[in-house]
Amino acid sequence: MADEVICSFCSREAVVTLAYANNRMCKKHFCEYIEKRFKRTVREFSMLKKGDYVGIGLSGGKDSTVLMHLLHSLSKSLPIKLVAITIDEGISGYRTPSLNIAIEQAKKLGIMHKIYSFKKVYGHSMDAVMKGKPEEAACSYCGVFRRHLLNKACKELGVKKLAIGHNLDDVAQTVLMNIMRNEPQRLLRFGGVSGVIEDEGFVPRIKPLMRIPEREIGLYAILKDIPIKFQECPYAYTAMRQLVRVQLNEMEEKYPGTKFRILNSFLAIKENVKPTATRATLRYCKKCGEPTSTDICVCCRLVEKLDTKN
Amino acid sequence: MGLMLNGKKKKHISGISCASLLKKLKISREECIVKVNGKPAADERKIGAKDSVEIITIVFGG
Repeated sequence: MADEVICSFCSREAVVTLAYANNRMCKKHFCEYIEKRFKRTVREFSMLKKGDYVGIGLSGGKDSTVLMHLLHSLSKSLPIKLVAITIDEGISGYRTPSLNIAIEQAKKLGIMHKIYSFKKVYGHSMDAVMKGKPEEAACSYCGVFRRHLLNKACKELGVKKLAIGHNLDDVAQTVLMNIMRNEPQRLLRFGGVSGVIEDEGFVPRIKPLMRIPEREIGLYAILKDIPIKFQECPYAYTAMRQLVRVQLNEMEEKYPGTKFRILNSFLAIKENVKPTATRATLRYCKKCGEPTSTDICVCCRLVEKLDTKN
Repeated sequence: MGLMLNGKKKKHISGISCASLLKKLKISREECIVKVNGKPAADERKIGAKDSVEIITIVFGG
């Protein structure tokens, strides 16, 4: 057909244009490219080794569901044990469809699946947290609760590493946001394997999708028939990240490869800067026992604030 | 034949590439997938009058 665009590597019809690489790929070559990139990232940062017990932070969205499929496929050649962990934040109309996908997909792959809810653990769902306070940034509550609960869940389950679905877009946005907020120490804790302090209290997080753009993860899900519900978090509009995302995407369209260059620059800088956080600054929360730099961790302080208001 | 944007019917546009279509509709190519006749398409794929086009937003916040 005259209108067809051909793959740069074979004679099949292309399903995607990768502007940053100046090529086009058919379904077969694109899927192989994504799988190779995932494996290469795992190797590059020594994220996994034989026998690891790995938790997957599974929201049921495209990134974490694709991550679970890729890890499941990797586990056939690298013996690792997987468990999917889903956090139910309690956002009506938003969480239920993805929760159902998470349950169904974990079952399909035969991966053990555990669900933890904000309401059960902290006594407040996100809908309740947000009631009457539209001016407050939902992400600061949700992010703190989610990180806290995932770490707690991993320790409960005996998981030694937590794989999360952060993609290239997330990473590039986080790097820029930390620079804009002047938070260099937070930035240095960030990376393929997060954390600078080794402590039993922290379960290291790995990001095997960090070198894959978000759009390509979505396309991979479509091409592999992984059922995904594309929908927006109703509280997302309050986040600074949204603005960074839009501007970064504009830059990427004008200057393809911008996101990769931000990531590579960050990794190069990180290599040469020593973080100041040390074990000496590490304490354990007097309320929940989770690692923190103060007497009471941020999560417990937020819960306390919510309890007081009610 | 037709143009669907996230499940909603829009006026069909043909004779331009998928990338130009997105520009015309002011949609970021970084945030969506364009399907032509049910299959994801490359940016340069030209849209014909008889093609059915579907734009799916896949990147959201949160």
